[in-house]
Amino acid sequence: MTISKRSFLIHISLLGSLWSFGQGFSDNDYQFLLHLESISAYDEGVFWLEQKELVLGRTDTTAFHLGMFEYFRKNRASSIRFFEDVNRSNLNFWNTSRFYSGLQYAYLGDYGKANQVLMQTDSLSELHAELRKLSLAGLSLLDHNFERFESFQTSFDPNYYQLVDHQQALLDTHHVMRDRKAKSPVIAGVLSAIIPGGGKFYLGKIGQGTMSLMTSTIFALQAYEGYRKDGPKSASFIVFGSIFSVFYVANIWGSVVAVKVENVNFNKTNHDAILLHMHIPIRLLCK
Amino acid sequence: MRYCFICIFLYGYFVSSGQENIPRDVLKSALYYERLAFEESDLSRKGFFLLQKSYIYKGIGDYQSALDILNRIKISSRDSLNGALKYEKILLNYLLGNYQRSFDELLKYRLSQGTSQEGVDNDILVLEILNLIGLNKWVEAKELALQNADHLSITSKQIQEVFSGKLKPKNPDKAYNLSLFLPGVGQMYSGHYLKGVLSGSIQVLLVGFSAYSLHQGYFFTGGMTGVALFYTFYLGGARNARELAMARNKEQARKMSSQLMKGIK
Repeated sequence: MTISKRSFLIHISLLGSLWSFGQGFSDNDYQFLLHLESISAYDEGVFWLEQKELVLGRTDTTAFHLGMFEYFRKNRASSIRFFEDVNRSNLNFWNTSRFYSGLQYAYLGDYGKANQVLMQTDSLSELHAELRKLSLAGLSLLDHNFERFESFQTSFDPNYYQLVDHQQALLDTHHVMRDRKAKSPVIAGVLSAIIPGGGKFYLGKIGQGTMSLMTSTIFALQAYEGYRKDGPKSASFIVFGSIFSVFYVANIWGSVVAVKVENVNFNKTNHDAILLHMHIPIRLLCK
Repeated sequence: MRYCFICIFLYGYFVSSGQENIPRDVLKSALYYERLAFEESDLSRKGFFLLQKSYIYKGIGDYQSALDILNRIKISSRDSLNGALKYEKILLNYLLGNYQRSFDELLKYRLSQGTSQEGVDNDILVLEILNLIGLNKWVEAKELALQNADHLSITSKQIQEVFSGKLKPKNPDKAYNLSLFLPGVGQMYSGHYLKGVLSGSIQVLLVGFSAYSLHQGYFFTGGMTGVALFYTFYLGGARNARELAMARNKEQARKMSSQLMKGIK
């Protein structure tokens, strides 16, 4: 085919596409929408739907798919706003948008809102009811509400192969979170004051503790050497004594901070795991 | 004309990296071609529409998206679109800095053209030279340019000027090892004499300080502060020499490519 013929074809087809923008949502349009999603053309998908909305106004279909495209683009707040415009007339869109909104509220840390949105799901199949239970159990864990988690966990149905691994993962995370004894910043600080690096040993960070102990010892020995050979007014004693003092105090402060960081990291690791095990089944079962 | 485009796209690559918001006109055009391709059942025409869409993304400097679109094109090996498709893959990979990938695509293109083709494809030739420069094969790039000076409308003198510097790229591992052998020499090998002298001097001073402290009986000071600091500078200096060698190769390749494109224009 020559280029001129091709270009003629393009112009004719472009006119056709321009015309189609002014029309309603045909089956072909819908297939095209799904096609855009399948090739991960989310920017194009959002733009296309916005053009559709200029003509059709907001419909369940446009709101739902805009929400999905924004979810894929990780624009969580925007995605939730679009999902809010989906109404109950199409139960599949309604329930799917509730699950994704709940998940995204969970990612944003608004567990109350996530819980409220998940509870709006309606007329669910047995599998989806079990998925909702898993999601609510995950939210309870994220909220450190172990009692509520246990109430969901006791009724987990192990007969759904799509969910059983994620149920088990939540149970494991629950045990880890429940059995953990939080480390005290005060104890870490006091231990570091007694022996430099003691706070790190208390945290189980043997390498960091050894490093702190060695560094402090090295500067202490050099300060002692300066003191022994040249007296307390010598430059070497003042320099190394000062460096040792700074390291000693910084090490105490570092141990206190390390405990706080450790607590934050522990929560973050577990929260990430919980969110992952809420996310995978929703992606798998809500389409 | 295509040479001009390469220069424009090279510029576009640097100014548009990290671009997030795609202009609406671009999205609109891209969508039209996507729709045309979606509704087309003939693979050849579908490929043609996707190729047009890929040009749009290339035009805004989004080379990865352009390449992703090309990778969706499935046409028979005898389709007339093949030449343009392969050329675009070579170009886009080059613009993305995937020189080896681009070179591999170029070899595939040559194989598909077979031996029957007469004459030289200048666009492909230019990309081959640019890829050789990117791969630090500067001697081969120069030889290829000289062999085809007539086709490229560039004089031998201009080519000699482009490749006037040393044509042997610096070996980063050699720079690292040289600095381990004698501190500062790796930096000098990489073309940074002042940094080499500075690095060497600091380490000589630290060795002197350690020796003096130990000689005076300051064993802890000499052993711990002197030796520990020397060790840190010693390894850090070697790593710095390796990075300087890599940066120098990259800069020289950039200069060569830029000068060559100016000469060809």
